[in-house]
Amino acid sequence: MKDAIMKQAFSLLVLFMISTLLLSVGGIASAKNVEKETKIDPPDQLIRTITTDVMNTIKQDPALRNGDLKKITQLVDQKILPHANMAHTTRLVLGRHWKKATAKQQQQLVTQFKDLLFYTYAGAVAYIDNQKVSYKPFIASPNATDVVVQTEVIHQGKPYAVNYRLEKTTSGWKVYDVAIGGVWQVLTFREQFNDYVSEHGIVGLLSYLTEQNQRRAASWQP
Amino acid sequence: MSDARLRGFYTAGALLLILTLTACATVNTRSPSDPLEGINRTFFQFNDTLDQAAFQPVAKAYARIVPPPVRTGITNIFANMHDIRTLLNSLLQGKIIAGSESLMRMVINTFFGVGGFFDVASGAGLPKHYADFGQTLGLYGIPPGPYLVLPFWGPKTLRGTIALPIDLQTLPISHIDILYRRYALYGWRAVSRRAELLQAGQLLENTALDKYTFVRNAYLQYRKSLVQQKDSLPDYQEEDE
Repeated sequence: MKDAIMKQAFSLLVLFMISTLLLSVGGIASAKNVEKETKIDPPDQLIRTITTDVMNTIKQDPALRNGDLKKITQLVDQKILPHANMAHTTRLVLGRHWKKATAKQQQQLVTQFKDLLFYTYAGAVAYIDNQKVSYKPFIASPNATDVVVQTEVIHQGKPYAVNYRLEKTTSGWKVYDVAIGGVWQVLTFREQFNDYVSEHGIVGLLSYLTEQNQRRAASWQP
Repeated sequence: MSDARLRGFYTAGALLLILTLTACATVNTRSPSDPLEGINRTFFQFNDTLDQAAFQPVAKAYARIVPPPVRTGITNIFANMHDIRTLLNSLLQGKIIAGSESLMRMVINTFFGVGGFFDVASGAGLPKHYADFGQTLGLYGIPPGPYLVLPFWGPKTLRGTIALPIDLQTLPISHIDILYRRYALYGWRAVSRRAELLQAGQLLENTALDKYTFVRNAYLQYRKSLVQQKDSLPDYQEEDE
């Protein structure tokens, strides 16, 4: 009798343990799922989403294609910049000179470099029409924190490789470099900036960039 | 290309090399890939002036007069001719798929695309490839050598310059016997290409702090990417900064 009770108690205990175990595992699993859903998009998915979104927005808005600077600014601020790490890009472009700049100068450099890129590419918005974008298979180890997403854009019948370099941050994957036809943006700017700073210093570069951007803002035409 | 022209080309090349080597002994160079920066800058300036004074206005006029669909058609015809070079070099590089696709593109575009005017092959899903002999040499392990800016031709590497006469051989235009027709077509091709680059040129004008450095860096990166077997990434070496 005692034996029987003990047995039953024991099996109840086991049952209890198993169920708690299952529940907790299930709980963890479902918690993980939730985390995955709110968690960051994988980099290739992110690029695909941004590209599609930006291209569709431009196609649907004639004002954008006509070079409406306010609207282009909006597009860049809302849809592109949240996924870019301009501070990282600027730091890399400045290379060994970055540390020579004061914190305030660094901040100004980021802003000015961002504007330089903005005025460079804002005009390109007018040429977005029926380009086809295809995405190369994305291979990266799950622990990778620095990846490349490869795409191909067909523009007027010709394929151009457009690759994005992204880094993992706590707030998702951020683009910090772009290569068009094998030419990386950071690398191209870096040499020029390096030469310029060597000759004119950080202050010189800053005033050059500021003046350029002001000139282009004033004389903007798509 | 006739023997005399080839010889002329090489003589000019040799002269250029001697000239540059002597001229540059005194130039303070900054980039290891560009030991001839001094003379390169001179030729770059020369090309740029020529471009602004003559080439660009002609290309602009061409772009204004010729309607876009016709312009695209003409670009396609020249691109179709270029597929021969891509075909031959792809085979030399052992890229069988790129080679056979280029062959199929040429056949399809020449016959169904009215001599290449319409790029029907791309529409049919046959991708366009690119290959040249400089790239082939690179894939065979020959280093690019110093960066050169050739008068009229623009940016090249020494390897690309050596490959240039062979690349010209694979361009059908170079086999046209009647001299004025050959050069008229070369000229047309050049204007057509320049017209396509008008926007890009503006972009360069607006962005570059130093146009020379900008073009050199972009060109060398592009050539390197053509020769790289695997995608290798720039190493920014942040720890050293």
